[in-house]
Amino acid sequence: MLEYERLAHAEGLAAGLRAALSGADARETAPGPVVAVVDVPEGARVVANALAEREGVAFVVTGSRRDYRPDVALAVAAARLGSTRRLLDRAVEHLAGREAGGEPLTRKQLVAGAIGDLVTATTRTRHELAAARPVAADVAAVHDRIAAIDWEVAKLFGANGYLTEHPARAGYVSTLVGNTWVAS
Amino acid sequence: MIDLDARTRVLREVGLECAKELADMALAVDADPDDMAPHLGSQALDLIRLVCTPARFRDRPLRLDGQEYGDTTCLQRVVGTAALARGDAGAVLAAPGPALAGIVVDVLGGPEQQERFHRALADGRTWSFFAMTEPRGGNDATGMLTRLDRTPDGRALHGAKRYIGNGARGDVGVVFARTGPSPLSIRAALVEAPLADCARRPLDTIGLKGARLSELTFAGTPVAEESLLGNHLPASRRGMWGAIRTFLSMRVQVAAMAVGTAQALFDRVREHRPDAPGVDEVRLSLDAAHTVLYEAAAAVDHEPERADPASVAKLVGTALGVRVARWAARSLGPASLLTDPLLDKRVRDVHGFEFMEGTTNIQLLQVAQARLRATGG
Repeated sequence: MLEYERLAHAEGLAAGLRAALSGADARETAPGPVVAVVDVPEGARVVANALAEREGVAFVVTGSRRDYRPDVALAVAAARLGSTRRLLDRAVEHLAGREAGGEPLTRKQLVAGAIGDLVTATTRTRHELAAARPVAADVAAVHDRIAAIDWEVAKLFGANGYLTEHPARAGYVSTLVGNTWVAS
Repeated sequence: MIDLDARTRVLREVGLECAKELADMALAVDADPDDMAPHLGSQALDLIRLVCTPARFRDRPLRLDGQEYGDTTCLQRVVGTAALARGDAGAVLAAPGPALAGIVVDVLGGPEQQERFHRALADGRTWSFFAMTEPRGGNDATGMLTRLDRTPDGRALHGAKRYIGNGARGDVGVVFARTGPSPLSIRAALVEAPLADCARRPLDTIGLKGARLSELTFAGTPVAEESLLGNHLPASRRGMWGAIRTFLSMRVQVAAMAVGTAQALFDRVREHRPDAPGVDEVRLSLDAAHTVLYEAAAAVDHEPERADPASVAKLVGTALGVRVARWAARSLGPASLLTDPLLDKRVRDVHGFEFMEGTTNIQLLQVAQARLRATGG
């Protein structure tokens, strides 16, 4: 798990996702009709998504016979968490470089508090991930936590983070990835 | 609790009818927000324009189900917007017409300026824009850098504006800029196409693509002295005073779009999975959010000096929107965001309201300051 998180943190969501999926055929182990992959299997039907393409992630239609593997879904969550931490690093850099009222935004208590909350939340979620059982309920809970943290990180970028050209798009793509791995 | 009068109730019902039309155009507008020709002239877009236009400038009276409407109140607009956003908030923002710029022209403009502005929009095919936000300073007006310099012929705009709705396609707009260093020197200028020495480009946003957020760069764009809004007003009421009044209306409008979009997401889940876990809790939150919203709009109408109700409405609406989006994606099953394009679009859209008219932190500060003032803190 740590390796998937480390890879996504160091190289981005796609690198972590590729590693997380390396031991399984995503099309046969995902819970729904479409799944996120990095390497598109030959002959797979792709569901186009421009945002995901920019992150090196693709979505493909799954097979008709599937055997859901929550353990793979947890590995995907680890990759997502690494991507979250990567974005948080960027957000802190971004805020430290912006000023309001003559001081860096990171000195503002509301902003500093938000950063503290997010560091705490990512740490807690890493431990939840380590303790999670490979069952649908635990998978859903961990992916949900990550989506919530991703959104709080995205807010730190302001409106810039709502542009498709901005790296914060990885948070939105991560939400799509998670959505393909959580069984209802 | 606000009791809506008959006119406002009719506006809500007609808004809900028109919402279906907006839902039908939602994906097309999202895919190509520049191709609005197929949608112009629709009943929904016409309604949005007429509701935002003062009665004396409408090309025809606004009559709905036997009710006749004069100038609309903030409450009426908000009730209408929330209903329309239940169809599609992106399409609401893509509507040609006075929109936010109209509010500031109506507050700050002289009769001739108002006439110029509203006549330019009367064809239903012309967009307006409201240019306040800057690339570095966000919505912080005190740090505004755009200048309105004096020239031998009048004034010239220098600077940049960012995240301006319909800024690249608007033929008429309002631009805020400084004429000097003091807070009172911030003025609003009415500008019209063709904008000389102005580069305009649309920005590609993750959602709310219909808003066609844009960047405008002014490099000496000429502005006639008579195009400065508020020349007929005392100096203290020419610039930021009008902007602040506009912000309050804008803030509740954004909240209305967030609540309307949240309601649309709820409707989607109810349609496909009526017994989804959490349905009752979400319904309760939506009912409460509508009440908060309507009360905030009524406060803008009756207590325009109070900023906190609008901030509370925006905080409630945007947080609820994101929460309902996450719930809807989970409730509709694995890969629902990839197999249901309208769901995906609404989820992308609902995150955009956070960045319009003041982020969560800005609203929290407004609410806290109001409370501290009230308690002498």
